[in-house]
Amino acid sequence: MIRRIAYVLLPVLLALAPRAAQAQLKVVTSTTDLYDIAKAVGGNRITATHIGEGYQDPHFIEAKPSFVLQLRNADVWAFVGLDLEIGWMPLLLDGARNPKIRPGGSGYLDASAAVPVLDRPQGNLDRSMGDVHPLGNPHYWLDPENGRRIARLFEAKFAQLDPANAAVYDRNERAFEERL
Amino acid sequence: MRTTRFLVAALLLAAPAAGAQQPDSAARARARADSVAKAVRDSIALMKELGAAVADTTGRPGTPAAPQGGPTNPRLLPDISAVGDFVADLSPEGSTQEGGARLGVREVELAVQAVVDPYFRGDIFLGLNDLEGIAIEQAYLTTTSLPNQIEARLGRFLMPFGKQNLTHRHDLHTVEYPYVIQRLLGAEGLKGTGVYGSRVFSPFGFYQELQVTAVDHLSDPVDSLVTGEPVNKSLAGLGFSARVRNYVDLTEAQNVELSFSAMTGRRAQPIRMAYRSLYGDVTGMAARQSTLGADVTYRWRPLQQGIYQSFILQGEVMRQLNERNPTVPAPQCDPVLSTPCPTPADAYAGPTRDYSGAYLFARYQTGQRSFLGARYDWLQDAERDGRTLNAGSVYLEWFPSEFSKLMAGYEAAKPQDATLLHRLLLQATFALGPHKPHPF
Repeated sequence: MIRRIAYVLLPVLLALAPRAAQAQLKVVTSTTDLYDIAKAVGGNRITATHIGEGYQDPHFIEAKPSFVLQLRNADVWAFVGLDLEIGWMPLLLDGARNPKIRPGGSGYLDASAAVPVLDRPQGNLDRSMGDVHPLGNPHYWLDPENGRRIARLFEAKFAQLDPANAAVYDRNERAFEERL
Repeated sequence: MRTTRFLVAALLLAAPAAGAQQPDSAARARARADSVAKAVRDSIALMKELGAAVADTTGRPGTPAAPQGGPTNPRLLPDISAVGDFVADLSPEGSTQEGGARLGVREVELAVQAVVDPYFRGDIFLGLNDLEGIAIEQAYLTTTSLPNQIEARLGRFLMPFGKQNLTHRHDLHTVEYPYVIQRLLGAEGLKGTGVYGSRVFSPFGFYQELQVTAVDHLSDPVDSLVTGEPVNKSLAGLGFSARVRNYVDLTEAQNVELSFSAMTGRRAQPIRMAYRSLYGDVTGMAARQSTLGADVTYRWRPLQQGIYQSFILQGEVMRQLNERNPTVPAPQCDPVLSTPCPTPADAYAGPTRDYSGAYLFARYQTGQRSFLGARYDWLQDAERDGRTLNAGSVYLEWFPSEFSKLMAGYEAAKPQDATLLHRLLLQATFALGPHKPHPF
């Protein structure tokens, strides 16, 4: 009798045993555009969140403490760069106390590094010119071809941090470029 | 036989689970090999494309970006910035500014900020004005790599007590700090020199932060007060503070912050002038002073209209607890030959009661760059034996840009047993250089 019960229960118990969770990369992006590209490349191998909403002006996002909770355990912080987020990003990175996403950290990902920067100011530059971007035009994500470049950047970073899923990221990135 | 069937069935059913639990080393090796092969292919393709790009002057979509040039700060210079704070006091009954000037540059704040190394960040703020010369407002080292999301600071910093004390004066939405802060913390807020520690928690799903400090002393020493021994001779004489900050997003447009603060330390308090001759060179004594506070801030800013609409409602309440019977030094007097020796209560001229104060502030954004604010202050004024002070003020604030501010303020202050005092203040501030954003 006991053997019969064990005969039935044991495989059931083994089948229900928790599978070893594959650690997912935690990716936080500054804008929803970067979030979409990150999700396209990372798929279900990453968990992604974004700080700004698509209907928000990314220059003037408030550095709310709740964003710190997203960033403090992030593996990757992907942002537009070229000082687009200069008004709030330093506060969040300081508050997060996460060395991985600080400048120079393994997860500090400036998407502008992958794109050709336009509208670099020439000559003397000061604030009499109004809202200037001294490092160039940060609104580069509007170009679909830069979407391709950003996707490749994300694929390289995700593969670097999570080599076990590098093939998946590569496959996803190629599929993303196909859709483009 | 039965046993064998049992084992085979168990193995068959468990195999998928077991396979998922075991590291897929073969798959990982294949992935690594694929990654390397792809990197080699990409490198070859990149070289071909770069070569074509040199010849192809019209460019080609999808071409990988050429190097963007060198670093933006090759000399690793710190961020240097300055903020000028000009105040005009047009009060009808005379200037109410320190020094009596009607028009003056209240302060210039010079900031030098940079990453020191992979482990620290450094921030230095100097305050310059004609009355006090150059003062170190803040100068601290902040850790950036401690485990468990702990942050530590060493140096001089704004004491984490209450909400507005953490805001630089030129960045306030009023011309001056609320009266409760001016009286209980200091006219320019409260700073401390020592050690600061902070950790973020979220056991309940919302942001919580504990901030603690140990500082050399609470409040700046008064030059005219000489105590028999240093106030901080024992470690118990140092200043200590703690603040628990709680922040909750109510909706994407609304949030509320509720925090509690406490601090304690020994401060030099005066010996009554009439008896100072009996104490030699000693003109003051140490007495313990503790302060408790609570602050709440409600913010509304719709994300879609965030640069055009916002509202903030903020209030703080504080209570200062003063030691009733501090230890008074022994006077040098002869009860027979001189006037009767003063009792400790007679000799002590410091506060002998507790004081409370509060303010409530609101600010509504009327346009992209304009704001209308109002504040109500209530205070048991230690400078007037605890008599109450009530004040109401309104402010019109305009930002021509993010880097300049113009403000006009009117205040009606009614001290108990005194006449109503009208004040009219104008302020202009401007920022030069990359001044870091202030805390939320």
